[in-house]
Amino acid sequence: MNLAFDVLLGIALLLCAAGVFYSRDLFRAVVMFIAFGLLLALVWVRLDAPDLALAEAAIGAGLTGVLMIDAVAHLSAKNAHHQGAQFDQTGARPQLWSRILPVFSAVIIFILLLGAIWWRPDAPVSLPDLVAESLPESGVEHPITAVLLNFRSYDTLLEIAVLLVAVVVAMALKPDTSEPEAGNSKDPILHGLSARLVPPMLVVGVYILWAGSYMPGGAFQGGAILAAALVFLKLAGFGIERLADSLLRIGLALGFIVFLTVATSVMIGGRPFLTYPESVAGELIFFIEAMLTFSIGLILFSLFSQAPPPVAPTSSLQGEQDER
Amino acid sequence: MSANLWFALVGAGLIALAAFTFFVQTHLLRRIFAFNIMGSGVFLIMVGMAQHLRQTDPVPQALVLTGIVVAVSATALALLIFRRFYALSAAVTLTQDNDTLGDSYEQEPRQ
Amino acid sequence: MNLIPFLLVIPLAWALISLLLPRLPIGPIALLGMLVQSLATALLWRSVQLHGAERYAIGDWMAPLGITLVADGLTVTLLAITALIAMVCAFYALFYLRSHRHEARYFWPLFWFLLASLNGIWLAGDLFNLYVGLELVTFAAVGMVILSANRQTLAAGLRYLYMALLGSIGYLLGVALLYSAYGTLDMRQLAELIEPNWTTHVAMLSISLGLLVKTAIFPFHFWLPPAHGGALAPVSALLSALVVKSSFYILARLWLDVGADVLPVITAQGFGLIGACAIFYGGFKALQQDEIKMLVAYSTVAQLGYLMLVFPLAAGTAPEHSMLAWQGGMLHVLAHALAKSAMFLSVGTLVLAVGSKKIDALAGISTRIPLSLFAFGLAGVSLMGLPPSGGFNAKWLMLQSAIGSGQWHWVVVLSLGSLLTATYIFKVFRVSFDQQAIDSGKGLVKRAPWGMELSALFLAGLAIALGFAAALPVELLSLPEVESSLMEASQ
Repeated sequence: MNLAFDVLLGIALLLCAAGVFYSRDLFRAVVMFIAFGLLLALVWVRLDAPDLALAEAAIGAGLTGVLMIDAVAHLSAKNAHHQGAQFDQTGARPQLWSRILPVFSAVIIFILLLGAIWWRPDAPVSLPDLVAESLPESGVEHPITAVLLNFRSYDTLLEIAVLLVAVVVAMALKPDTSEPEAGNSKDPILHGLSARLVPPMLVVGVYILWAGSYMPGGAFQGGAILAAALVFLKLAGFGIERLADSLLRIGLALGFIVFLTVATSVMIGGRPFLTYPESVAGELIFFIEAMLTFSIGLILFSLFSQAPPPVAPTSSLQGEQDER
Repeated sequence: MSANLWFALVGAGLIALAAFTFFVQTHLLRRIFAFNIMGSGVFLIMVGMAQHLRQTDPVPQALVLTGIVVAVSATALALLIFRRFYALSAAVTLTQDNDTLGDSYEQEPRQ
Repeated sequence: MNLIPFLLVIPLAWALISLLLPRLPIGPIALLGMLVQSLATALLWRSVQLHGAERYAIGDWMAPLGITLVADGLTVTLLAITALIAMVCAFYALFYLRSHRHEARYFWPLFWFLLASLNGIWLAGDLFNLYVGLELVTFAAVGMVILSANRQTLAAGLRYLYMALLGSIGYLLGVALLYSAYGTLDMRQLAELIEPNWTTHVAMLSISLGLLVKTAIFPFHFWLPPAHGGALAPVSALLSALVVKSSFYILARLWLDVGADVLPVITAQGFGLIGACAIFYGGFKALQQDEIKMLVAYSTVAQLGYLMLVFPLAAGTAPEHSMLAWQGGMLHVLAHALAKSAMFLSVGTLVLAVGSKKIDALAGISTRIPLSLFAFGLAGVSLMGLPPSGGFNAKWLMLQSAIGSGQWHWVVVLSLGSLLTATYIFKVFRVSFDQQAIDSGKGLVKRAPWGMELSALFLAGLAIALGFAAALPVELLSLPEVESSLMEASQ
């Protein structure tokens, strides 16, 4: 029974991916992509990874989906209906090798991977045992949170930096002359709906953050839900992206600042970088996670809201003039 | 065959499919889809193979969680640059005449 | 107190300062930060020189559970060159960005994030940590390329981002396979466990392809010239000098340090072959360019090819030849970093002075702006591999290794490559020393800020000086830990 379900799930996943790549227009591709993300979340449940299922549904399917929809909506009709497998942008006839080469390399990749998966040697080291052994000292009960915020917290620190860099680039790309968006249309239904929906969303976000210390959940999933609530508010016409610029910037960086400060200040006591004193490890991790949730929510939301305004594609000459 | 192994194989299929798409599709948005799906394939292999014949492993799960967040920021970054590029050039592909391949590259003078 | 984490904390803290407090004079503050950073680097350098390689367990969790940072001779050498070049580029940018107000605002946060990620990569001892570091480098570098946000740079940035993301996925796939096969992400532990089998080979293939794309080695070079040629001058210098080296560094560490036992000779020769292709293709393309920055960018494609020659020379040869190749390759990394950053900085000054990117526009400027042209020339001497220069020493070591191990085909490649380099460097000089243009009063130029001319000259001078002081980094490279791994490599 389970096996049949898994097989079907896997095949559906592959079909969905093919749908994303070869559906006729991009709107359908985005819908297929969101479906793909939700199916993948199911797969993570089957693989005993509820954290990943949560993250995949909220970030992989939800947020990425919203970003893609927003981008596709700003394409002109012609470009959105741009069909699959196109070589003939310039009208040139595709050459034979340009058709054979991709098929050939895809088949090679698949065969190599198949072999690598099939003839995998037995791993001589078992990290899960080590994680289980050290879990009591980590200050949290949920092993994934322990790995993310304690054992491999340096990865997470750099990861927040990655998010921050993406936002910095988004800010840099924003045109200098940012006139307020004309007529921020207030959809009455969305407006009313969001007034009811956002408070419970925030509650769920906070719960997921708090739950992360002993069961699936944590800063990233909580942050994604926070971001979703903010996106929702924006779509409903609340002008939250007009937060004072400096305030927004501090909010974006807050999680990183707290993380870096804690990581560095423990060195005053002679401990290595990123070592939490054992007696307060749990509290410190929770504090960092709370700040991270807040910042991650803001960052993910900014990546959505800082997107360049929908400028109608102009002739290149005009575009260059806008530049200066 | 365990579910872990099966989904690792599905991951390999996704990677091959996405790689093929990356080679034949020139539309920049489709290529962003290809990245995301290829990444998902890698994540499936990472977790599925590590857990096959062994217990649930929190380490690759944590790594994949990091990977998902990095993937969404990469997607957002690519979309931001793409949208600005689209606004200036009305092009959805990178072709010879809007820069590239070095051969026909010509920078317009600043001013 | 151990210094290693400060090399990460300092740039990250300065990134936050320049992001959150834009009203402060962040340019001069950045220079101050670079001084602090250089001081920390110098102290670490000294400590490693005296006491040997250091390992640092972050969070007090030992590998493989935790992440370990490693500072050996190679690492501190790269840290030092990074601090040095970044400091000069920051100084140059102070003057250069005066004419780029909008770009200046976000240049500095990205600059510091880039620096943090580069330091993170040099120090990393963990495979997945390298992945996050690579992504951070990519994002910061792409962000710097598109700072001027016109159609060309956006297209170049997109191409760069797409190829770099493809490379990252290839790398991550390899890491996933290695983890499943060995259960560890720590590079030192992996070096002990790794053995030749199908999974390992596929993993290393995937990692290599990904890193080759990121290093822009022929035939994956096509994204580099528009990105490096189109960016602002200090950005081009940082990208060509340091960023492409970061992925090469990982490739070299993985093959020669971790996977030496599983590196088939045919793969090493294959790496050498694409390196040779890069040398010739990049050289010919550089010769064909009519824009000066594109010429320098294609020169980077060619020079990166030399790095790939390290693999056939270091793998499967006698220990002493292997050591020579390894030293030559790493010296080439340093020499090229200095020479190419000097070249991009001087070219930036030249372009600013004559107001055009065309090589023809440089006609007759030899008497007008001699300092920058001199810097370009000195850098050129190192790139060609003429004595005395860092480039000469690097190529000399590699030549010795090739001759010693009887691999005459690489001797031919090395010599012809130098000849080709000379051709495209002299192309610039022929134009700028054009007597007719000088006589007819052509080549009237704007005055360039002294700081810009001086920065380029300083770096070019160092590229030459490396020819006299090559013993210093070479000695560090032969510290015990590196040496022992090489002994294994050649058995």
